Amino acid sequence: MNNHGSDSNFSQASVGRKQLIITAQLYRAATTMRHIDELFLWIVRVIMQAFDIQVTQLWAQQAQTTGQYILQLRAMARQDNTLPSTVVANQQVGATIEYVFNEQHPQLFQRVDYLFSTHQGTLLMRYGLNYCSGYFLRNPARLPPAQQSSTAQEIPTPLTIIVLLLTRQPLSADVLAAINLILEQAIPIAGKHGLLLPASNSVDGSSYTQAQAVQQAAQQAGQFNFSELIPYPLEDAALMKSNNPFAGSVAIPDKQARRLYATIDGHKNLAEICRDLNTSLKDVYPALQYLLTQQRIQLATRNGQIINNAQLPGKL
Amino acid sequence: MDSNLIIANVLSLTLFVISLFISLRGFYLYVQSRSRRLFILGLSMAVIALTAIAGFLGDNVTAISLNVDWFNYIGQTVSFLFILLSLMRNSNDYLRRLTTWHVIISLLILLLLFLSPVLPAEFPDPALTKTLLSGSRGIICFIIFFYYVSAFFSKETRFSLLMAGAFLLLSSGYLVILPKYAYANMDLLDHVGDVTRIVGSIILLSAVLLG
Repeated sequence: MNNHGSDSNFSQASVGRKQLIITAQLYRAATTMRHIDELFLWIVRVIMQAFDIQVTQLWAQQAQTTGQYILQLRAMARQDNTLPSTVVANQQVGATIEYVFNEQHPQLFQRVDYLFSTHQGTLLMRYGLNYCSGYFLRNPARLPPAQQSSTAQEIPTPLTIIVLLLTRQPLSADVLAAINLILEQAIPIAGKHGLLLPASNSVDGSSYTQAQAVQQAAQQAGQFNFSELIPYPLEDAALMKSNNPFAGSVAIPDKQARRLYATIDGHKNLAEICRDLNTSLKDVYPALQYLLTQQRIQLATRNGQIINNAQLPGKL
Repeated sequence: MDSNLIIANVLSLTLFVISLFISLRGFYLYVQSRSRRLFILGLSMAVIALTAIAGFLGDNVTAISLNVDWFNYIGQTVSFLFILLSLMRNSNDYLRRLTTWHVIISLLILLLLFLSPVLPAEFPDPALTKTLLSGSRGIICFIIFFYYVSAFFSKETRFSLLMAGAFLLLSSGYLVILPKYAYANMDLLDHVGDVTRIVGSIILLSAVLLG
């Protein structure tokens, strides 16, 4: 696999090939694994190497017999081994991850100083970790306690994980989508190889799955006509005030996303925008998701109701 | 060469180079990001760069009469004003309308540059007119300074600190020279104002490069 070059050198085709290769390799590698943590470690290392990610972390929610839930860092990979682990795995990072857990955005992509506290953001940027991307994944299958767990209080927990990527440069929409696919496919592969426990029949387990079903039904009841949603550009309030526009973070590196952003005027809906671009909604959807996760735009109905990113489908 | 002219030339060329750099970089980033605030910055700094080079030519080219003071004062006032207005609100509609007005008014201001050979050399009631036109640049820069101070207090970044410093010096440079329009023998104040603006411009460049 080619690990060299900046993110912008990854063409769409090469990214797609990488995703397929990694998924196939994961399927083979999972046959030799004995614990889910081995799979997590394998994934974070491969993602780090394949997509030139400086730091990759996998955080999981862990239930305890006391009924409490804690966050655990189950796997981490750093490109630079001289990077102190305390810089990227500390209380402040954990608190931010907990906030992201509560928000439950399926994906996020931000500058680190927007997501983390000022001190943590500055610290990360000092080590060249300027951007973070995150994937929130949920599955009723239960995650066994950590392999290195030293307490008997930890019990199998319905799978709720966040994969956090810290990078020097912003990732393109293609890379973000490829990593999302890899992670989504990793869960059923883990289940097939017995690395995850089946969803629980206990009161807690069934309550969880019932709550999920209720949430999905509520979402479906309020479903909207997607093509009639209107994207609104969001101007960075701090640009040219606190944030230096010349620092390079203001650019939209993805060409398709940039082209899409140029047509958004806060009045045309998605159908009209696709007509102007002479493309289909399915083709423009990755760029749209990219702009949403980067908080460059927000979607709203004609009545002005803002659409939460969690309400959007993963793909078309 | 007259020592007055040396300092004035250094100011003109410094302001021209720095404004041109910021303008070109601003337009490039506008193309990459489609941020209207960057377009306004790029256009404002382009006009300021033009005023600087026009001032240099007006001071040094004696073969033809170039009355560029009109363009200089009004161009810089309007450019700083639009930078200030772009910082005031974030809504997309507001910035879109502001961009449109900025382009229209900038084109009108360019007319002053093209008409400089035929514009009157003297302003009507020069002491008052020049004081108002020159002073307005200083006041607008002073308001921008307060915006950056406020930005610094809400989020302490090197960028906002340096920008505050730059606009404080630019503002001081414009305001300290006001007495020269009403009184004679104010060369020292003129030099102080010019040097202050040179330093302010350099800090502005530092802000965008290092902030």
